[in-house]
Amino acid sequence: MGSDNSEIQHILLKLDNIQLAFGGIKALDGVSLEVFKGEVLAIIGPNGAGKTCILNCINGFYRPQEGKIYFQKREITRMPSHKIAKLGISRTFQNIELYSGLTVLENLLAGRHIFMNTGFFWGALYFGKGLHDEKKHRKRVEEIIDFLEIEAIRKKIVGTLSYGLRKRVELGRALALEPKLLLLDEPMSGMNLEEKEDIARFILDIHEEFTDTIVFVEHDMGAIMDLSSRVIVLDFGRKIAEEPPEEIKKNSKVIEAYLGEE
Amino acid sequence: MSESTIPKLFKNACEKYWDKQVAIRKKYLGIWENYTWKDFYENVKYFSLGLIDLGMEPGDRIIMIGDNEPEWVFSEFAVFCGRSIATGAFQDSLPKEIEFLLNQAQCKFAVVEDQEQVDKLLEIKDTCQNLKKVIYWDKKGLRYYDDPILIFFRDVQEIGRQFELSHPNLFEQNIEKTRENDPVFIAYTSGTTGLPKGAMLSSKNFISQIRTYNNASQLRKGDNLFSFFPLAMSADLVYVTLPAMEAGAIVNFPEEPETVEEDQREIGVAKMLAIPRWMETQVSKIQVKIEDAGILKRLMYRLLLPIGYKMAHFKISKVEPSVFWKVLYSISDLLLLRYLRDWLGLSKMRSLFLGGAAASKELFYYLLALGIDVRNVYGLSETGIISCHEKGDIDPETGGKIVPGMEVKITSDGEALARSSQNMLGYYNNPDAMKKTIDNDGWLHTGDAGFFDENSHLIIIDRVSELMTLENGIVFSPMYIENKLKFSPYVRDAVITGHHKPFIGSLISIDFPNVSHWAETHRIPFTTFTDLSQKEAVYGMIKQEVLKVNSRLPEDQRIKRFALLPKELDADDGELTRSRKLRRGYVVNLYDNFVQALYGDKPEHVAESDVKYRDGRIAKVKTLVKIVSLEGRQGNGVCN
Repeated sequence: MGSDNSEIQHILLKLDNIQLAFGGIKALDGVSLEVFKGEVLAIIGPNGAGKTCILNCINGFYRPQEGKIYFQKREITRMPSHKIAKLGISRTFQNIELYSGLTVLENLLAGRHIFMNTGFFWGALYFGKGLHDEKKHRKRVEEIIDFLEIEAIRKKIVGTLSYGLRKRVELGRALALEPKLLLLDEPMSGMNLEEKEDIARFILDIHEEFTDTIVFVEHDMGAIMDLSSRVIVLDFGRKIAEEPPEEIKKNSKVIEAYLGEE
Repeated sequence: MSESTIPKLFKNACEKYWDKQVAIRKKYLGIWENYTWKDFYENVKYFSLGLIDLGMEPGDRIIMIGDNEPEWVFSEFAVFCGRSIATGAFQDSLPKEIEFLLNQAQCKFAVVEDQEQVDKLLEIKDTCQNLKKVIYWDKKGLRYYDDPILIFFRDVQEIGRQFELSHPNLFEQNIEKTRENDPVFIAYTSGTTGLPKGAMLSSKNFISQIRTYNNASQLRKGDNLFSFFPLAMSADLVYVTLPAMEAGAIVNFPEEPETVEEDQREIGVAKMLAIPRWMETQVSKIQVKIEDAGILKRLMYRLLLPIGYKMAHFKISKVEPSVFWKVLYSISDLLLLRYLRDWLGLSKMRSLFLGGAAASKELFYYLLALGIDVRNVYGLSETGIISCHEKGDIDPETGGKIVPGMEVKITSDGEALARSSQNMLGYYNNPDAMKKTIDNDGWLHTGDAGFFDENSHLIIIDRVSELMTLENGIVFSPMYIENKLKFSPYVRDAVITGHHKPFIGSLISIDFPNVSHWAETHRIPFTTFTDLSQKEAVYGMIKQEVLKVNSRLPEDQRIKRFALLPKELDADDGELTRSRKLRRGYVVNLYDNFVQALYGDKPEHVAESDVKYRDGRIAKVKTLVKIVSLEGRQGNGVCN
């Protein structure tokens, strides 16, 4: 995945001078960044650097006090989350957020809600348009199940699944939105080596088959080196570096932020 | 009358049923999709022609690697119809194992499933001189692969379609040219001892086997069969694909290897050959789940299952049960047995054949008690079905009567020899092994020790080479004891020792899911397999299981001491074959220090073992293993 021509690719998402504070604490202090169409962007940084805050601002969980966010040249700064989702931004969470009492299938179908406009009447009748839509959505969800290789747990209740599998289901729900931009918050945290390798392979395959633009927050440097085409480093709410992964290891500011000053 | 061959059988079946009947069903995206016989025929035809255009010639070897999916069978028949030879490798084979097969059989093409297999083949392609193309049928993740050796399955079929325009009727002519004695399939033995050997099988071999099987199983048109054996074994052809062709039955493929049990339940399979190991796992699950069930259900299970057992006894001793028992049985069936059958996915099963390895008497009885028409079948890929239970003439201890067309004699040292017109053509590229196996008079040395009982049923005890002699001269079969141990839901694998030793010992590998479940209900905390396997309470529980087995063994063949292995036996470590048979010689060597400790006088033993990770790294693991004596020797049992 070369990033050589990312400059000439067009900008999908743009954050302009974002300021986010909780009381006296500045979580994000004037962060500006661009996400180019077709890239896999990694955001790294020490604990509390503001990585998750960026994702939360993008999909409307947090409202930054200052600054503007543009998605496909349209401002989305103060838009509610569900409208942002409809525009084509979906995400996963660091601590899995699924309906744990529903089945895998139902959780994934829930991710299709933005495409469902059957209405109460046809939906209740389960006939005509309602039936047609149900089939259409089920097919799409089944394709995702096939893609993520979770056929065997299709009808299991999510709460009974292992952590690794729940992470995979959550990824599936994010894909069910058919996003133009996929945000992944620590997709590999708490996983063993084999599960990490699986997820890494899925991320590469998602990039090929589903969504070509992915932003992910991660700590595992190995995964970042293998997956991303560009890395942004945050420290105390500020962007301190923005480089291809090969360069980032040599960057003295990054070493300082992670390992402390010499 | 022309010779009957597999390609002709295939063509006849397709022409007979064409688009009026379903030949193959496979679950895609959660829905069962049908292939008619016409679809089957066309898929095979164009793939065969495509391969010919790519350079396949009669007699070439083509290897297939992947899960059970229609494309595997299409490729296989495309190869048969092109008068070439098909072979297969297990889908979890390591690259070096595949490399061995590719070079041993000098394969020209490899037809593989997906990225996983493609990656393995790309790793070894430079050392496989004969390999011309790698054909894959699942595109996922392969979009940016640009190695010229790769080609997509559907693209090969497209080549075949173009090729047909310039070579009309070539496919049909090829089928006409097939001969019954031509080799069609190389079945690699699982290699319990040494390197795998490839048994070359002809159409004649297969066709006589399926005639025998169809006679025994009474397969009907439209019956559902289930393809879940690894397709690399000839068993799938003999018991599923070819019988379906002969009878017009439907072959169903599982959605994924993980969904086999669920799919089997949905299909309602009519006839099946099952490996005892597989059924044991299922039965273990029932036993564990019953322990978890409510008091009413447990009571029903305890009360009503013995009625099933009683009925099983009647069937085996061929006694007509009285009306009293018949009424009780229908109550038991109504309230319990049919639900258990349904849970096992056997609700529509007309007869279940157990083969591939000896079934324990306990398993046989259990299935019979559930009301399933269960039968043993004994066969070898080198020759085919040797003996089989006929309907109404069953005996859990035996492999049944010798089938027509087969001769069996027992040598003075107890080995069973078999002779028939359907013996294999030889081991591919391995004449020495061939000479050792089939002698000049055509007798195939099975390597199995056996004898005939008073009803002329063949009883197979064990491999001749595996029989053991204690110091006091008592001969026993380790497999017989191991199978009894493995019937316990808590024992996954067992290794019996005692050759030239004073008594019988056993190394036991616990069943991790079932034992961890047991530990949870008994509030025993644990971390890993190793930790769990060495808990005192687990030792105590397994000791009870071993004592149960001992009570059913002759007094001089009982287990005196055992130890629990700190790791699961695994095919990747060479401890099991890919078909999950124990490679005893290797395991005993590997765990030599354990065996020493079994016969030593210390109650504990520090075990050091190598653990090989899938990426090739090796780590040393140290564990303190306890040795449990069942004789109550002083200071030797941890759970006295």
